[in-house]
Amino acid sequence: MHRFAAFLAVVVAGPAAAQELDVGRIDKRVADWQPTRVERRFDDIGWAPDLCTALKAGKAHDRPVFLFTHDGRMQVGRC
Amino acid sequence: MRASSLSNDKVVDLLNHFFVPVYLSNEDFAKGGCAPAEEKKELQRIFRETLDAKRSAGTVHVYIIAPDGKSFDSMHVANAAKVEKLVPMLEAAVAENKLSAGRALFPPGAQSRKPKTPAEGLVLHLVARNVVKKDGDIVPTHTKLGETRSAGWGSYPSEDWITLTKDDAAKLLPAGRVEKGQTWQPDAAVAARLLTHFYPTTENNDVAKNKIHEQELKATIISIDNGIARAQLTGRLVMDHWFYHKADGNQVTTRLTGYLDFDPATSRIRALRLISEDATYNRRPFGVALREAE
Repeated sequence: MHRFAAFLAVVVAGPAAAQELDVGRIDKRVADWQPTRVERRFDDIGWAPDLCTALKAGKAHDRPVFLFTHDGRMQVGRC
Repeated sequence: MRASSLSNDKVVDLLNHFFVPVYLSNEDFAKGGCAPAEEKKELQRIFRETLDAKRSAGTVHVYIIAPDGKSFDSMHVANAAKVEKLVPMLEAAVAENKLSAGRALFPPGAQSRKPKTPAEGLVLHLVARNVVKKDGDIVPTHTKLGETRSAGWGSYPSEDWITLTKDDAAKLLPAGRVEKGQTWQPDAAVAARLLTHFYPTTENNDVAKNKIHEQELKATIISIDNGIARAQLTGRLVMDHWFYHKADGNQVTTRLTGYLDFDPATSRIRALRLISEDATYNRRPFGVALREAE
């Protein structure tokens, strides 16, 4: 009986477009889907801002430069 | 590589204490790219000297450059993404250059940064990620990062920053007097600029190649409190998005749910939240969450 009532409620309420706005659910989903600290582990690397700055810093501090060249935008995961 | 070796504790430690790490996007260094001429010249020099030294070179590659600026070592990304390949390469550079550990020369920090907001404009932040159905809900998948096997599409979420000018943001709002129950369709062209980013992690990120087949976005005022109107957003999107850079028939299909808070007196948007509902890409589930950037 309860199942039938629930089914009837969905049918009467219609598709998602007619459903009541649930701000709490939307905000929770937005929050839950943000990148986590672990997923941003790459941010724990002290990246130089650009190649020439890295080369100058390497020379000044007697350190090798680690250069990664790639397609896309690694910092936003679109690569 | 970000999911595997560049999230590995040992690699992070080595890079911070013995190297000057830097990454660059080939798009910026291509003809017409935004990288300064001096940077382009240096990259060409590194590329040429690496080849002259009979080492591997390519566009998606790791290069180790000695402190004197000369080529020292290199590795293709397919190998550099493997922890067991990259760590020995870095350790060899440390040993051969007789390096001592020091502090990171540049402070670590968020690499995905909010762009500057145009005057009275709006910046939106989008996250696209792999999801799975669990206990009647849709929840994010979380891959353990930092291992060779961590490498894979969607191991971590993708992000987009979308900037709207004051005029473009206003096009999402209704014209004229605002009343409870009022419905309208936000400007389709501006809405498309948001929706074209509703796709999962793929190699192709050229949104100009996307083709929207169905786009619906409807707004309905459900309340006006203290001068702020709240509109419910509902909609639907069907869009071709190639996984790689050639047509493959892959398609995004999703319903859309969200809300929009704005000040009718000033036409300023206070909040914009929009999420995918039961989104699929080539029949596989994924999720997108869009919100105004703080």
